[in-house]
Amino acid sequence: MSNLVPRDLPLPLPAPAWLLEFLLVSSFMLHILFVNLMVGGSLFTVFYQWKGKTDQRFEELAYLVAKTLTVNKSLAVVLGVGPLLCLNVLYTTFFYSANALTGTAWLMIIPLISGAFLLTYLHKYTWHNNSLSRGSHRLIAIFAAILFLIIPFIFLANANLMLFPERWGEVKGFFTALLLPNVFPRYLHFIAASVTVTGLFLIGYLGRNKDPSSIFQREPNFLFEARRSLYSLCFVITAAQFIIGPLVLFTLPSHGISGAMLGFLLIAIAMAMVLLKFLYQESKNPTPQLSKGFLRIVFLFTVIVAFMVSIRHMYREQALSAHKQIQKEKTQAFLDESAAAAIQAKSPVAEVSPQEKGKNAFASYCSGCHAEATVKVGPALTEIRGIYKTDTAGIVKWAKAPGKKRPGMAMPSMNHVQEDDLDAIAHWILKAK
Amino acid sequence: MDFPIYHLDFLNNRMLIAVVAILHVIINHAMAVGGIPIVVYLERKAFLNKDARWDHLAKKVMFIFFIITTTIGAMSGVGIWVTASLVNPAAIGSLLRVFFWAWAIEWVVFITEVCLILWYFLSWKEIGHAQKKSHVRLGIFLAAASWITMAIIVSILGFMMDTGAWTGDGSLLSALFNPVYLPQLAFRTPLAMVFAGAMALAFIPFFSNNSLPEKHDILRLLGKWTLAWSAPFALGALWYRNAIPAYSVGNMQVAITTQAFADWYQQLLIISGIVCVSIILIALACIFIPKRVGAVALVAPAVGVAAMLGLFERVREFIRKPYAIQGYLYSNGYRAEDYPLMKRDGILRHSTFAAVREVTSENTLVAGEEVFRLACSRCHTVTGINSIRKNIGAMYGFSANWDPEIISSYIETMHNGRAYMPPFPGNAKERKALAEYLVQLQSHVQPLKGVQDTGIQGAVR
Repeated sequence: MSNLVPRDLPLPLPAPAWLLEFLLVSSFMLHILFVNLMVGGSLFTVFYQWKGKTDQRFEELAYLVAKTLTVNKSLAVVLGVGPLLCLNVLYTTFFYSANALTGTAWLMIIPLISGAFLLTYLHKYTWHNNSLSRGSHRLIAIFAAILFLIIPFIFLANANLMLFPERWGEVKGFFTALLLPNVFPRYLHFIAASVTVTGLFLIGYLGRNKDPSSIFQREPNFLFEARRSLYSLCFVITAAQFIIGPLVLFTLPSHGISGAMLGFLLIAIAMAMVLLKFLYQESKNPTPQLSKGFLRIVFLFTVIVAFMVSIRHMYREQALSAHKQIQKEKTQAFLDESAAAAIQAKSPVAEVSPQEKGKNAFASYCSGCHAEATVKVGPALTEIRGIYKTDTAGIVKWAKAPGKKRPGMAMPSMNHVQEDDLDAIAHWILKAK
Repeated sequence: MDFPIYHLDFLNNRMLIAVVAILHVIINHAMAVGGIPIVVYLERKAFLNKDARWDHLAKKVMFIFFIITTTIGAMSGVGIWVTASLVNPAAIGSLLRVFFWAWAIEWVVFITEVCLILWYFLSWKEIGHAQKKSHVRLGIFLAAASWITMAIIVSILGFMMDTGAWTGDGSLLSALFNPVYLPQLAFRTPLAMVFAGAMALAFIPFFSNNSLPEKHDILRLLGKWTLAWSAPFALGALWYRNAIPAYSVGNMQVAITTQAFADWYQQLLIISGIVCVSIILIALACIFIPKRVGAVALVAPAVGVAAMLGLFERVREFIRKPYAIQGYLYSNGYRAEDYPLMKRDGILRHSTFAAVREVTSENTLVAGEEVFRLACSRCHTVTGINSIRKNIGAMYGFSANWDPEIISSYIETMHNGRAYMPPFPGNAKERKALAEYLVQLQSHVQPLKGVQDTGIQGAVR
């Protein structure tokens, strides 16, 4: 199992590991929040617009959601840079190895995300454009949502693969990486969380526009109706997480699970049960307001997410701990060997005669292309002697800034070679004193 | 480089980075660093003159900048990172460790920039609105944030060309203020401004004219903008040219074209000169005879600057060779200081993911291919761009039989003859195996596959 752990990069971490881990976990939490809002927002837009076919109020609701989507997606990207930075520094070899193994798919995240973003703008800015049929307008949102549903697979395959160097040998490209245990349960867990996060966000966001012409000012009851159904949805999805969650846990290879992690998990599950009760209560509330009931749900949910993100990190550390230890020893052994070899290689330099110097320098710098009497790549020395006779300076000048006289490959400049070496070479070629 | 080796044999790995990076630089310079100042300048002009037409123009240009920078612009920036981590993880991984805190600060500024651009664009105020003045001020903050993010990243580009005092003390400050940094910044800033002017000019033929200012007024203003920034641009270019480390200057000729087309060098210099002069002439025409400037002349400067910028980035990437990080890491991903060990033991022995770990008489070709993958494939392909077959053919002829002895002895000293090539990192056995592999490519054309297709071949051990 240790065979596939590569050496680490031999540069020190830029900060203590605990600080980097703290930055990773906290910035990742912010990032994933907006990723959830992005993916969830895309799904809600499609859903509300579809309901809007028969009920115009939902069409207006869909537009409200679509407008938040284009903002949230930008924040999701920019907030992803921080955790990616920490991940790259802390888990350099594990992460990059996973990237290389899923290479082409990993690369595809760039065009896929760009494409999804462009579609969300197209969708938003053609909303009131009558040249587009409503059907094709809805189709744009559906295409964007499909992209937003595909892209997480690539991230999850990488986040999963980097944890298990012992499985790297089995992987041949992205699709086999996808088939490792845990990727699909984790995907479901993530999509469910995206719907819940976006649902809670919308409960708080809808009705904020106090403009009397806006939909919820015109129809206050519709606001309560929308909030109630969002609470119901959050309740159902959170209840489903009680099935998906264990599925995620049981498909995780057990060597990464620690006692502390299970302890944290139990606390989180207990809090989730309370959350479930609160969600149920609010879904039965005829006039749900943004007061105590809502705030305690948001607070509890945030704490649960913080726990989950920390548990995720604890698993990663535990799963990689043996590999990291092997890596540390391997890296140190390599550095020691390298330093010893460097000392060994330093041999004293002997004094040489000018002719000898020219001969050696010719062998280093020129013999790849030039030979005494045959044409290797460039002309033979016999021919060069015929051209330059005794003009050593002419050879030096040409070598520093070669022109092109004959077909085939042009000679590269020898500007990087020391002046006295060039001079010695020219003297040696022309057998000059 | 002790990583599984990702490889694209058709496109070439370096080309992959180049495509993404140049796309990003074009968008960043023309539509953010230079673009935002133009928009804010137009908006401010509208505000001061109480002229709604200039405001419409500003918003129209901003709409395009906004859509492109927040989609392809942002993603291609992340894309440079993604492609670099596939192509040369040792280089990007090392840079991240050295520049972590600089990147962290850049990240905070980047978040600010994104928030500001969303706020600025989505809260665009009509002319005459009470908050118009503070909206203009918001734009100025946005322009500053855009510039700062670029200013931090440029330091890293400079560091790759000249590590300066970092080699001695290893400190972030020495790395940040490397000798190439400020000259390159002084070059890029006005370049972005000129480019943005050219880009805005290129939009004008596509804008319908109602509710906008008179076309000749727009041309006059953008022409002045472009011309005014040309002078600092020329000075910056001169300073930057002089700051390029001496070891790089000799590579310039090959860098600008390629080895095979080195004789295009003069012609390309002339073409660059023509592009610069034409831009100045078109800018002058926009100022003095705006009514006679046609659509083609308006689009041409943006295309010209984009092409020159692409060329410039290629030159910058090439002249730092043979290094990815000057003096520290060769472009093949091997550290300079590990060379004695690699030369002694061979690279295969120290490569965790290699299919074979030693050259034997039975595995010569497999070992040779593996050595090629480890030592050459970051820059060379077998069948695609910068194909090693074509390079060898150009040197020794395509029809003559290649000689493994000659090729092996060439590889031993090639870094002396061709300063942009790193020294061969492996031992003599590996060099000979590589030569055997290269020679059999003459008759067996087989694209080299990367780990994304083959999986880890040494895993069965």
